[in-house]
Amino acid sequence: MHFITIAAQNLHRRPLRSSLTALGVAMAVGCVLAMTGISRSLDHGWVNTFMARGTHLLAVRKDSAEMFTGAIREDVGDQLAAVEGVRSVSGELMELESMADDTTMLAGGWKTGGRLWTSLQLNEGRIPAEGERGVALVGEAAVDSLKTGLGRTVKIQDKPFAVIGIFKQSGSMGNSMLLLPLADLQDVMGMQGRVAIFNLQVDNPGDSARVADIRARLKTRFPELAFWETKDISEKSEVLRLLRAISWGVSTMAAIIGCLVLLNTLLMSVAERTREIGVLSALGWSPRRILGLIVLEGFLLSAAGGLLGIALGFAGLRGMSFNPNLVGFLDTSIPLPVMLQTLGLALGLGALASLYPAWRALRLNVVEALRYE
Amino acid sequence: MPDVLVAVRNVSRAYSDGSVTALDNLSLTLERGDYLALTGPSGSGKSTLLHLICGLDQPSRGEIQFEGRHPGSAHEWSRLRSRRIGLIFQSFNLLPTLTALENVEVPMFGVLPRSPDRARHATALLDRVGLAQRLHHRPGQLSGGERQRLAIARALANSPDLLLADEPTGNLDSKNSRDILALLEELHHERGVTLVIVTHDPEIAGRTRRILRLLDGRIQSDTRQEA
Repeated sequence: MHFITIAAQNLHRRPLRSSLTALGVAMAVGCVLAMTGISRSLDHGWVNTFMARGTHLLAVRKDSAEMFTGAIREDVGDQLAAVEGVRSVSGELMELESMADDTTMLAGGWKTGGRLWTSLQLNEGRIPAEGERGVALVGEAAVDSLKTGLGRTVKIQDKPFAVIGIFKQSGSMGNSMLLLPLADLQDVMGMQGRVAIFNLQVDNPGDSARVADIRARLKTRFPELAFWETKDISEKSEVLRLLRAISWGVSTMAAIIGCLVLLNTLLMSVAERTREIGVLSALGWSPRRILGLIVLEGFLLSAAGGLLGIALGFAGLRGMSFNPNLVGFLDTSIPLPVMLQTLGLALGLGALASLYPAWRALRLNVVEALRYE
Repeated sequence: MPDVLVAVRNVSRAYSDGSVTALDNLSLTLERGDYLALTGPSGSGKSTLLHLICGLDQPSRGEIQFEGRHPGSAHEWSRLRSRRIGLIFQSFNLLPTLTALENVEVPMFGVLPRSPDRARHATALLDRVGLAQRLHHRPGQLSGGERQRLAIARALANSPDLLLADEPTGNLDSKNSRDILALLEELHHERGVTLVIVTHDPEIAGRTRRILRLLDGRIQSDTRQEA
């Protein structure tokens, strides 16, 4: 018999209680994983989307709460392009659009004939010709949810747009977007002559000192704008920061609830086994060995709950990805390091939650414990 | 010169802020190889003395020495109970979720590091107490007599020098009581283990070599007799 057998047998003695506790831990772990997944998905989604477009810097309005809510005059793009070291500038509008079937879709507006269109990888169809209007391209991840396809139309605010291409783009955000000519989206949004951001490409993007220098000059020249490096988008964006904070808040609460469930079970278990713990002490088990047994029980419960929680978290993310409002926004893959971190968190909390019950067990008066019925 | 295993020196044990005295300035020695019955009416301090001798409880005054040394800490007492002192209880105190074999292995953790060694030794002990056919039975599947045999095997797990049995036949019928007592006596002779039995039963006390009678926390008589 191994030491772990004793702990496992103790848990097996109350299979329903142990299972429910593991399930409680699993729910908490699943919640943490799902929230982390959502937050990570949005962070990476944006960063990857802009990186796939070859954007090195983003110019946004300094005082706007979110990068897509600001409005910048479109002709500022020409002034930005004139700055030494800036290779190209592409204005962009973006808006969340409610489609006819209540699906929410991220719509982007790019100037026809501009660089951004050439960054797309087309599955089928074509990009709009310069000056073309009334057309749309759909990301491959959005085709099913929009129930559309090449040659069909999509309606935005009752205005039909002919789908002329299906594209693929790295990053969950970009891959599930609807792209229109900038002038069309400006009309839809009532923002003629305005864009929300500029995608900037610079010379030698790998030279961080050079990029910093260009950025510094841009900031001096355009004090009303903020310039973000693509990799920093998730740190700079107010909305993403807010989502991350909510995600951490919910995750922390879930972790605390999981911890309390485990603590309650182990306390009950120790109380029920008062006499047995007294027997172990009478047989010469050291306090450290008894503590190890209780902590091991907590560890086993949290390990079982952690593994089940990873499955639940994954299923939860998958389930959420089918929500019409989230289609395409969520990346349901969970990298191994994130899984291991979450499992580590569960095991850590398990050990933490078992310390108090273990301490209670050690404080038992052995003689009284042996008389305990 | 007697080989003293345990020395109890001027030990008192009081409870409830000193208002109840379980043992009152009691001194005695247990010699290696002793076979002793601890008798006396309920409340005379028998169990308290037993608990003090194995370090489960601590005296209010005086000290207990094991082989001339006073174990100063709970850890030292744990180590003694693990390796040198075996305990047998009236109500068996077996772990219900573990099999007979596993119950006997429990005290061996920390003494025999390898699981196969523990299993082999536990099997031999269970064979010795007549439970070779019950290795994988849980305590709930054993009779009262078998449970006490199992408890005896567990007490012998680490080859103790001192075996303390608190009313070991108190929950058994007369036949099982005789068998258990016979087994304890065999082990006492075989292994030279010092055996202390707490009992109310004059017949059991009559079989031992020494009878220590307690009354109101003091030694009323300490009689040695021929085995």
